[in-house]
Amino acid sequence: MKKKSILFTVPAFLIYTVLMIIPIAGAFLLSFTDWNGISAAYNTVGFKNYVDMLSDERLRNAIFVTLKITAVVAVTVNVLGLFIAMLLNRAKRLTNVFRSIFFLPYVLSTVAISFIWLAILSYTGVLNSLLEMFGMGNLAADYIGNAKNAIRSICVIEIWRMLGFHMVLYLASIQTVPRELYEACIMDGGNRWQQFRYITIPMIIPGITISVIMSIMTEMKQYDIVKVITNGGPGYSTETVTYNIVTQAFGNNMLGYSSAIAVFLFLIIAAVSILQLQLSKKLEVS
Amino acid sequence: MKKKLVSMLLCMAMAATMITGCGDKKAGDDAADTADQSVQSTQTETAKPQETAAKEESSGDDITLTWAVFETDNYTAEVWQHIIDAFESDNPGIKIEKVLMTGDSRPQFLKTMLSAGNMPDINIDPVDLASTEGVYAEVPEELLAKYEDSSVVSFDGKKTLVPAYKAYRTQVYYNKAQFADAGITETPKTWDEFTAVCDKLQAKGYTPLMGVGASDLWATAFGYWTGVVNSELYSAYPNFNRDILDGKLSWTDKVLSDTLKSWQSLTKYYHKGSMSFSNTQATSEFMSGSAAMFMDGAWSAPTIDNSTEYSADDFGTFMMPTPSGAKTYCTMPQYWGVAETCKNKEAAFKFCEYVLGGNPDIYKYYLQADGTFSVTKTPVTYDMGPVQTEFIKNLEGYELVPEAMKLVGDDAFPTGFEDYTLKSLQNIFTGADVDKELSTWDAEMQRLGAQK
Repeated sequence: MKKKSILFTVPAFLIYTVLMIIPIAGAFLLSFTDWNGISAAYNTVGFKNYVDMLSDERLRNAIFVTLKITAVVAVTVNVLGLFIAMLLNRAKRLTNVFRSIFFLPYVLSTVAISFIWLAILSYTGVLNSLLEMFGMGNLAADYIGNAKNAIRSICVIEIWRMLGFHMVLYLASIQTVPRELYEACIMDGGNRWQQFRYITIPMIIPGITISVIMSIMTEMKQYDIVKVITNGGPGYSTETVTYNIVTQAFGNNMLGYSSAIAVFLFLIIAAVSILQLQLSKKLEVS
Repeated sequence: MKKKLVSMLLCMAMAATMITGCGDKKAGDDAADTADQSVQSTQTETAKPQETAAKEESSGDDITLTWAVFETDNYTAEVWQHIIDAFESDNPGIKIEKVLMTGDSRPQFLKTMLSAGNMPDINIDPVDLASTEGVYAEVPEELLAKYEDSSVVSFDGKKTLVPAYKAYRTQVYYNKAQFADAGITETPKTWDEFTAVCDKLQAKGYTPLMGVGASDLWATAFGYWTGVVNSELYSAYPNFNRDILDGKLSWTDKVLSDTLKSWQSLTKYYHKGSMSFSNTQATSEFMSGSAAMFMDGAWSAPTIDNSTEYSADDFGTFMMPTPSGAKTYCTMPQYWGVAETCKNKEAAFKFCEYVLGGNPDIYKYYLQADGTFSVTKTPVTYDMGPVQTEFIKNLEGYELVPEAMKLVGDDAFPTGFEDYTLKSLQNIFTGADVDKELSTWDAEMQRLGAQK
C-alpha cells in the first residue's frame, strides 16, 4: 500500500525535477564558469565569480537597496495586513466585499499596474495634477526622478500590491482561533489588547511565520516594478539584486557571474527563512 | 523533528525559485548545438547556396521568416506592416512574421531570445551581438557591394552585418515663439551665448531645457553626449576609441571630466520633472511648450514635421555649441543581421536586400519614417519637411566624426559598457561627483572586455 502511494508522487516529482531541480543544479554549476550565455565555449573559473562579488560595489549597493525595500515592505504589509484582517474579522457581512477589494491589486499583472502607477507618479502625472487642482501645487514633487523619492515610490507601490495578499493570510489565520478562548479571556476580565496579545498572536504564529517569510522572499526577488517604474535609476538608486542579476546575465553577457549572485541570494533567503522558522517555533503554542 | 525538517525543506524550495531562471539547461548542450548548427548551416550556405535555394523553391511550401522590429512614435506598426505587405506581394512564397522587441534594451531582448533558442531570423539593431562568434551569418559579398564602403564593418575579418542606414545624432530643437518672447533674435553659436539664452528664457518665466529620465536610461545623457561630449572628445583625440582601448587614454581624462562638469552647470535650466519623463513624454512636453529647447536626435525632426497637432513652422533647430568651440557632428550607423540559426538564410538576405535598397521606394519609405539617410552606393533621397531640412543645413561647416559609444567593429567598446556609462551619467546629472564617477569607468571597461 505504502509503495503504491509513493507512485502517486512520481508525476509531481518529475515535473519538479525538470522545472526546478535541474535548473537549480545548472545555476550552481554555471556559477563556477565564465560562460557568456551565447558562445558554445566556456571555462571553469573555480570560485573567481564569488571572489569578484566581494569587490563589486554595484552589487553591494543593490543588496543595500534590496534590504531597504524588503525591510520597509515586509514590516508594513505584515503590520497593516494583520490590522486590516482584525478589522475585517469584525465587519461580518462586508468582510467578503472588502477582502475582494484589498486582494484585487495582487491578482492584477504587476507590469500593468506599474504602468498605471507610472502615469500617477510622473511629474506631470495624476498625483501632481490633483495637488495643483486643490491648490497644493507647492507640494508637487518628482516621485520617480529623485533618488530618495524613487525608492519610496517603489515601496509604496509594492505595499499597495501585496497588502491584500497578506491581509487574506492573516484573516484566514484569525478565523481559525476558537471563540471559546476569547470568551474565557473576557470572563477573566481581559480587555481587547489582552485578548489580542495573549490569544490572537500566540494562536496565529504559524500564519505570521508564513506571511513574514512570503513577504521577505517576494521583496528579496523584487524586479518587475523596479524595471518598469525606474529601470533601477536614477543611476543605481533603485537597482535591486535581481535587477543586477538580469543586467549581468543579459546586459553584460556574464551568465556565470550572474549565476553566482543568484546562488548567493538563494543562500541569504534560505538562511533568513530558516532563522524565522526557528524563531516562530519557539513562540508557537500547541 | 520531522515537521521541522519538512518546513525547512519547503523553505529552501521556495527560496530556490530565485535561481531557477539562471540555470539554463542549454548551458552546455544547447550552446554546443548552436555551434554545431552554425557550422552546419554555414557549410550548407557557402558550399551549396543554389541547391538550398532550389530546395526552398521546389518544396512548394511557404517560407516563413521572423523579423525582430521595435516600435516608436515614428516606426509604427503600420510602417512595418507596409514593408511586409510590399515584400510579400513581390515575393510570393516568403512570409514575414513580425516579432516585436519590447522593453528598453533591444540587445537584451535579442540575447534573451537567443538564450531561449527563439532567435528571430532577421534582426534590426544586431550590433551588440555581432561580435560574438556564431550569432549572425556572414553577409554575401555581392550584397555588401551595394553599400558605401565606409558603412561595411567586420569583426575579426567576418562581415556579419547588412548596412541599413545612417542617423544623424543630436541638435537642439527650439520653440520659436518662446525665443521671440524672451527677446532672442538669433540662435546661439557659442557656449556663452547658449547659457545667455538659457538665462534670458528663465528670466522670462520659461523653462529653458527639456530632459529625459525615468526608465529611458539611454535618453538622459543622449543629447548632451552625442551633441557635445562626443564632439569634444573627437576634436581632442581623433582616434579616441582606439586610444582608450589601447590604454593610451583614460576615461578620467580632463576633456571628458570638464565637459561633463559643464553639463552639470546646465542642470539648473532643465525642467524639474525631466528625470520622470520618458523620451516620448519629453518630446510631447516640449512640443506643447513646457520647455523652450530640447537636445534630441534627428528622429524628432520628422516627428515635428509630420505632427498634426502642432505646426512645424513653430519650431527650429540649431547645432549645440560646445564649451571649447569644437565643431563636429556624428552619425550612428544602423545594421540588420541574419541569425546563424535561420533555416532560410537566402530568403532572409533577399528580404534585407529588398528593404535596404533593392526596392528604392520601400527603402525611401523606411528611411523617411525615422528621418534617417541611405548608405547605398546609389543614394536614395526623399523630400524633407522644414525642420528636417534645417537640421541637415545646420551640418554645413561641421566635421563628421565617429560616435564613440556606437562605433561598430573592432574599435567598439565591450558589450554592456555603454549601459554602465549611461547609469553613471544619470548619477552625474543628478549631482554625483564627476571625477568619482569617471574613476570607475576604466576598471569596468576592462572587466567587461575580459568577457569574450
